Amino acid sequence: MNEQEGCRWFDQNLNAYLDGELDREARERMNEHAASCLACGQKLETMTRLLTMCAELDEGLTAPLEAQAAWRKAVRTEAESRRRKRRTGAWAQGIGWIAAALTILTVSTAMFRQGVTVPPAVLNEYSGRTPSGVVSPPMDYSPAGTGEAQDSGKLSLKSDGPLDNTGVSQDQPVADTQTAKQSQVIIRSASRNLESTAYDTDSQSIDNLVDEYEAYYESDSQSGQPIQPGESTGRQRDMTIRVPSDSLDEFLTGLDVIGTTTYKNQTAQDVSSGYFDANARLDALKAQRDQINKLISTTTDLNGIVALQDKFYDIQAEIDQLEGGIRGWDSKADYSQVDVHMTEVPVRNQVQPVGDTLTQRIRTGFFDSVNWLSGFLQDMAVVLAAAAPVLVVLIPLIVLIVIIVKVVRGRRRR
Amino acid sequence: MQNAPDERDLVRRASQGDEAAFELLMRAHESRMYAVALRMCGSREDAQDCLQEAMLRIYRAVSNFKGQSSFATWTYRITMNTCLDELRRRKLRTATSLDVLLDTGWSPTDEGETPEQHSIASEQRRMLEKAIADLPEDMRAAIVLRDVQGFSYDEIARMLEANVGTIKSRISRGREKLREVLVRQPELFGRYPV
Repeated sequence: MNEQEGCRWFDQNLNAYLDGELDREARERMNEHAASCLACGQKLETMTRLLTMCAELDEGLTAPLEAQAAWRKAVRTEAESRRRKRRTGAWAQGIGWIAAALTILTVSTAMFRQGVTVPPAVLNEYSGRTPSGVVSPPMDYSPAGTGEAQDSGKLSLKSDGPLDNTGVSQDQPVADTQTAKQSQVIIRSASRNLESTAYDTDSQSIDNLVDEYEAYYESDSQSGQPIQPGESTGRQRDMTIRVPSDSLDEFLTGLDVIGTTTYKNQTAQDVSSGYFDANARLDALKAQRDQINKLISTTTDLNGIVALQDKFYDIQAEIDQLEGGIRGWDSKADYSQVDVHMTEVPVRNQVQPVGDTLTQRIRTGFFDSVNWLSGFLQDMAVVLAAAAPVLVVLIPLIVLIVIIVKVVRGRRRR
Repeated sequence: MQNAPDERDLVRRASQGDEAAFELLMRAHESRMYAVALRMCGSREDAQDCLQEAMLRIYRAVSNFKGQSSFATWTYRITMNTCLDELRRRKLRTATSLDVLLDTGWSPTDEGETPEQHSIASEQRRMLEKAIADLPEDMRAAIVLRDVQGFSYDEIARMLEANVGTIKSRISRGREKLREVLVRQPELFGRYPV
């Protein structure tokens, strides 16, 4: 190998020589060439010194105290931030669970109030449990004049049939008193005083309203003359209108936009107690009457027959009276009475409509909400109490499942 | 490569968020990490910032350490990446920041040196530091890890995520560049005691 090739070989192996990667033979060859070649020898010397200087460059160098303190503080801040996030996460998770539970509770309560089919545990809360499991509507009608029309307790009482020769009355299928007993009988009525500046038009509007809701005039009278300039009043019309109870609210809403209402009133009379008592009395009297009929047919004693017949007619009279009363209640319950008094007035004498001021409306709305909320919370307590036996089993089960899942995840992570 | 049992335990505890265990774990590496950052960034302030950032990255990622390499290798890889990210972001001019190094007065003393020898040694060190700082980033990283810190080629390859051949090439070229710079200062280099 000539000198050039030797120098080239030297250059190629210099770093390996410096890193101690050459074998003994190669190292000796490198040393021999360095000893014989000035340039390569100087290169080896300078490189050796360079590496020595590099190795000694950072001997004893330590991170400054402020650098040590700074990174430690940063790591502790990071750790604290992580712990806070975990706590917040735990809180958020807890709040999430509570929110979910409250949502379920609220929805259950809302469904319960709507009368949706609920588990038997909830039905037991009500004494009026029905076999089908459907909860009857609550029987606490508030006769505030604004409540919805309840089931009017419509009965289909039919007149009793004549006595046949067996003494057994051919009664038509009468009212289902069992059904009647489960409903309320509410008799609603309303009154309105109107002032009208367009008497003919408003009268016609009332007539149209009566036709629309298949109501009828029980009485209708008019008096007075068309209003003249300078006069304060003109014609007047007094009406007693019988309106199907189911349509009463819509009828009144339609009536309130005719003319100007100066007075309004609504009542609701709960005659359920008397109604059901009358029906019960009626059933008893009928049974008694039938029994007397049987006795009459079997008795041969003339005096006895006469006495029984007297008794029979007394009972029958009482039955007729009761049935009449019940029919009257039915009629009033089926058709609510609306008394309307309309007065013709000049335009400039128009009375300010009676209506709620803003303050009254706000107050009414507020207290309605409070009452509604109170009722809702009470129902929620009922649902919670009824569901308690199920929750006592379900909650520990859910907690156990969550713990198991966490443990399994933790093991997998490890 | 196997980790020492106590280091394994510290890594496990640190990955669970135990900052005290993490501080204990990193105590053995912080000075070398700082030295690497100092040589890569060229200034004390930048080195401190890189050290802090590297420590945070290691703390956040320690739960992901699977033990496929030694903990030290994994730590210095993060440190080097942090320094390279910082260099790219700030585009440091390492030459000017050498003044800061001079101001810190970092100058290890040899007890046997005369004041004149100490002065020459300081000047030589300063020239070497400047020469290293002037190297391109990839060569600088290889030279700092190999010749200054003494890591093996395999470790450096894992730290810089390159193959061993590439690392050797960078080191070879880096050494040559350093030698050329130093040889141009014969009055300093020639007085270096043999």
